[in-house]
Amino acid sequence: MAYHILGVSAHYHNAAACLMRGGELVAAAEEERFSRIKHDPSMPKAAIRFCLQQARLAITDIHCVAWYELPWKKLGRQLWMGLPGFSRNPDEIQRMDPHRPEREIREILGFSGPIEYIEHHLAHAASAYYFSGFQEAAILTVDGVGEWATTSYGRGEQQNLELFEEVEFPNSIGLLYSTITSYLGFRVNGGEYKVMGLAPYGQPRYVDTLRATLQEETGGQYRLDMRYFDFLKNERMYSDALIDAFGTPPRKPETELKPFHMDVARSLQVVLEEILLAKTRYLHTRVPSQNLCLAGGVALNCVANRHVHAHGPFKNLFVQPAANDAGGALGAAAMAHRRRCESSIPTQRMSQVFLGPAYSNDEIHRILATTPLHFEDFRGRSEALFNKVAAAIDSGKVAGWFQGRMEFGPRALGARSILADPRNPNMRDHINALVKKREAFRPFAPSVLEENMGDHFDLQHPSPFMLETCQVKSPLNMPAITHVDASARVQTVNAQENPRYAALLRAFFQRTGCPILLNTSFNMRSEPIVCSPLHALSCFVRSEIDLLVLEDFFIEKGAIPDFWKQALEIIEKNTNPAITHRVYTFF
Amino acid sequence: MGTTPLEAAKTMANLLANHLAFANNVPHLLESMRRLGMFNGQMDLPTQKNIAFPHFAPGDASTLLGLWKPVEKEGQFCHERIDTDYFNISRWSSMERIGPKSSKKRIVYLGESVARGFFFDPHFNPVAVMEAMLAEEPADTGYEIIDLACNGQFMQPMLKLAYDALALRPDMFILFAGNNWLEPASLWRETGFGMAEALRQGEGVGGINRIIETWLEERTRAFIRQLTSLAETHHLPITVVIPEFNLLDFATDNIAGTPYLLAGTINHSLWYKTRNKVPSLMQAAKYSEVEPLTKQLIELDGGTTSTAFSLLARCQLAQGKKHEARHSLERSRDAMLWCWPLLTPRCPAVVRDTIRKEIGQGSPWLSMVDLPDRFTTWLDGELPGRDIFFDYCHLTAKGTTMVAAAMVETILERLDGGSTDFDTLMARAPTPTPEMIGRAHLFAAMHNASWGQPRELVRHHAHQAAQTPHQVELATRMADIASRCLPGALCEPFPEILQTNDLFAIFRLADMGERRHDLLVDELTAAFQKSSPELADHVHQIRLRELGIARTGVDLLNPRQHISSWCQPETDWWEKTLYFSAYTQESRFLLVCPSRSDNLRLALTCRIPEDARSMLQIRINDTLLQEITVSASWSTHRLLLPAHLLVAGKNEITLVWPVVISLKNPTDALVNLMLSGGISPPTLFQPLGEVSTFRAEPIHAESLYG
Repeated sequence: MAYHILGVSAHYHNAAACLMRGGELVAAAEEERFSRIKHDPSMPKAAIRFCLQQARLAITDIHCVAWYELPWKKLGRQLWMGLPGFSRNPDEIQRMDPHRPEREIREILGFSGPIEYIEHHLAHAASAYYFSGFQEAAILTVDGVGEWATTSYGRGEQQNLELFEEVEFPNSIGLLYSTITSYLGFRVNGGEYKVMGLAPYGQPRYVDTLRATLQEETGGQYRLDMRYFDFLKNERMYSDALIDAFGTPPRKPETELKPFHMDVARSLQVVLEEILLAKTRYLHTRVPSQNLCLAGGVALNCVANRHVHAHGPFKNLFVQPAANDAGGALGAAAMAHRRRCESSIPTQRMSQVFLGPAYSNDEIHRILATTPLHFEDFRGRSEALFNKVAAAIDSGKVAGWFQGRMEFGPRALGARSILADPRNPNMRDHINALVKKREAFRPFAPSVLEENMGDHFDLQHPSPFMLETCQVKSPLNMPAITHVDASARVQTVNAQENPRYAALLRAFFQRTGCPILLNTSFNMRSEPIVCSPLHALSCFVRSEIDLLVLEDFFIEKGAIPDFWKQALEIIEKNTNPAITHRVYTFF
Repeated sequence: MGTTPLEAAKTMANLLANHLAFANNVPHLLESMRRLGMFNGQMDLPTQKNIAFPHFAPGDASTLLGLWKPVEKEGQFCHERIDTDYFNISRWSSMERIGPKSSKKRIVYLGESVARGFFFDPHFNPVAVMEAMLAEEPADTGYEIIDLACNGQFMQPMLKLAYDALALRPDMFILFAGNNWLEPASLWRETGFGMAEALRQGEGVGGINRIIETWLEERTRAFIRQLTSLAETHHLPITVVIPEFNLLDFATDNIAGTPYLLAGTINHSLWYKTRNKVPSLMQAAKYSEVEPLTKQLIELDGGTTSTAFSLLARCQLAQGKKHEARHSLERSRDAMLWCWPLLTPRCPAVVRDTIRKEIGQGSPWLSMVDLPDRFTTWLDGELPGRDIFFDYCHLTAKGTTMVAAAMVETILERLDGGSTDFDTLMARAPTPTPEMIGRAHLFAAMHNASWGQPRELVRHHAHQAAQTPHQVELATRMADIASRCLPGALCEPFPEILQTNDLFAIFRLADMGERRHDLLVDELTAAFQKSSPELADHVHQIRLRELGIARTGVDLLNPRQHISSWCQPETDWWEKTLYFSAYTQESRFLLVCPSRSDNLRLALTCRIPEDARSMLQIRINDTLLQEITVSASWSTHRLLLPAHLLVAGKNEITLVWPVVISLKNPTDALVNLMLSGGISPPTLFQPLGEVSTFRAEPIHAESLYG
């Protein structure tokens, strides 16, 4: 009988759950998609409920719950951080509860079986290595902090995985990046990605300033100069010394971004790439493999990943799409499987991340039929649907695209996406301002048919997870997806893994000669990516998306009853507001 | 810039963590140390202190008053309503403008939804009635009432609004409030630790009640004193209207969870056995046997359930003991303050008594209209019921008129030293149209159903509505929306609701959400059967489509299948746990079947709190299907549900739990949760059983489980 493991990450940020059956991943999802609370850290009940339903299991069928950190080891770090006193924020004390994971697993999930605790960075490492397809690899994990480790070095060989060195808190590349993110007026653990997108607009004028905050040491070690950081006090990330070093006050959120800020972002990117490259080279001296696995939140910096891959000693690179804490659930499950089962985890490269819930045409029809909405039913006529959507996008419309199982990880990959014409010069500003309602500088990413990728991008291998950047070399002018430095973060799409999205791309290609679509996540600013048809409808109504495709159903904006925007406001007023802002804490 | 802890401290911190990892309650341990000042030398202990509100300054020409912003037009200072969303607009009066102070005596009126005239507003409300009564007064200058009452108003915002409203140069204030003073956020912030301590000390929920009552008393006292200061400083008479509660007809034992009995006196079986004896004895009119049983219940549960007092009250009422029954009903109303998230708004006795005491002994500038006292007089000693109240506290036309007359009496007395006969005032009152009354009854039916009231009360309001003209369309839309599985605002009939511009209807129906509404729908269907004979079939078809057992089966744990009211202890369970916890002896699940149903298969995974193997009954439409053995371990049971036991449309599957309560002391875990802010008092109910999966599937469907 197959061994069922529930992998869980929670209580910090980006809670998630996954279900592994006999070493194979069956389902995975982040809690925020269900709760609609951005970065929801709470025990992922809804995600677990989904995972069980997807696997056709009850909680009683679970053999083991795998937890993605060691709570008592983390307590040591929390106690150390809390010194000399806890007077600032008594709430911090409530998070110092090493029994909380077990208590909640027992009391909230109702699970009475064994719990495997996996060290945080080991979970990160496993989340990459066991899904890489590599028979052996070097492993580098970099994040803000786990229990104590902020950076870890490891090796994987066949089914075995070990970490042999770590850098200890508070010395943290991730927290350096987050500190500057905060200094630039963006939200910690949410804004880092924006800083990465801002970097190409700037000049590396402050590289030396930033180098001064970080000192490389022997081997895999480095040290932050804590004079520049205040995150230990948990009130503010940066200190006055850092402000003095830059000579400019920190940017207030939502205020204008100036060249100075862009230069700082650029400089930060340079320093990040430097240190990562250096530590990657060190890792190679310890693990002289051709393969490198990257994990941890910093591994979401795909520009740095590209740099490390291009200039580093490793020929092959794998980054698991949910490289952040959500992916810890996968790694914990994998490690638990290794510890408890004789069977191996299949050594095959993760080829797709469509691990979330899907909704059938019947379910969607039932929802739509209960509303006064006018919709077109394309059941049994998918090709006609794809042609219609392609034509609409070609005419300048923005489409909400809801198909199949939801992606796991921060990127939308054609299951919960907003799609548009990448050739349209106004499209980027249009979507930023009116659809996503987000900062104007942020670029969009393209999806391209895999068979056509080489014609348009400097990409030598498939990149299905949108985790690498490359140069755009297309004969087509695509301002909407070409960043200011002529780069793009590309997703390659093939018909085997992503049939309906590939079919749409093909329809667009046949119509326009362009095998590329602008693909951004289906959500509005500060909201999680949509999960259910109702979420998609809500986002559709409240944004300037022109049309919505829910499986085989096509809905134009004009078909939306006038009152729905108002109606959704009423519903939102009457329900508990989602907690979208929390004071960031490492507790 | 702070000092970075020494590297050496890391080792020590890790050692300490290893020790603490064996401690049961690390947060509580550390929190206690913090409060004792062991970390920074500053103690932070909850002390018995007088609650003081922030100092409010009088409003001036620039102060926003609720929805009305100050404007100057042609040299005159007035207030105009701001442009805001429907939700805000619906909470306040519909007046567009507050004009400048004239020669008329100006009364500023503040309060909560009861003061708004919930269910009637804006067509008919206490202010409209008062104005009509005052219009016929032979006063030299006349009177005007500025209506700043607001649905969902709380104590401090209302106090601030009173200060702000000084900018209107009032001659008098009337505050009609006290139902919303059990404010969750403030309560938790100011007493959470104390509640956790009460649990740790073994006081049970009685200790929490004690803390809440003390808190309410202190806050009410502080509130009255602040009003006194306002009145005396500005030489303004202020009248506080003490709300009354629907003692006779609003069932306060609608929260039917298991009692939280103190450790050491846990005898839940005896409590249930005692309780279950009462109905047949009442039916047989054996009241002398009922009373001691109810008193035994009160002794067992320490007076912390509404059930015991409600049963006692029914017995007393049956014997004509009205005074005793009033006392029992008030205790029933107040017994479960510890369960505040599940309670309707209400003015507990402690608030009423504190107002009485403070105003009775206090400043001559303050007066009160004591509605509990007045209603006793008006009703000749009878208890107030459905002819005065639509629900727990919102007034009918008759109730509104009585209360308005009492307020006008005090206006005349305080402002002009005059008086007009109560009956004369009553006779001047306008009456709402039959349509308004019908509409109000319709929403009362809906509201009472949402609050878990008995079918009879819902039926009463549905039938009252059906007897008035022009309600069939609204009733039809209400039943239709209630039968669907999307928020009301997204449902097909909703555009027609919007076109009415009836904000009350819009908001009440907009978020009719994912719960069981079949009680309301069935009563509406029955009440309007003559005027809308097709309604029954219409809702049946919707039910079939939306809730019916599909080809692949139905998840009976979906809240639409079993959560029927806001006061159900299990409400919102799916946001808290992965499994359903049953806090009542019977858990009822809706199963909708087509007209020709095959045999079905039930898959049930459940457990009970204690490892005493017991029998769980599974009933279908009150027929026993099977008894299964359950224990403290999860067990999955697959049962056949034969087609001949099913009916077309609504069926009900009932799980009847054995009364087995965990004897483990839950205090440590509860205290932990309380301190982490993760507990809400309904968690204090002790579950009788837990259900992890519960599905019904056609017999030939591929099973979703195993």
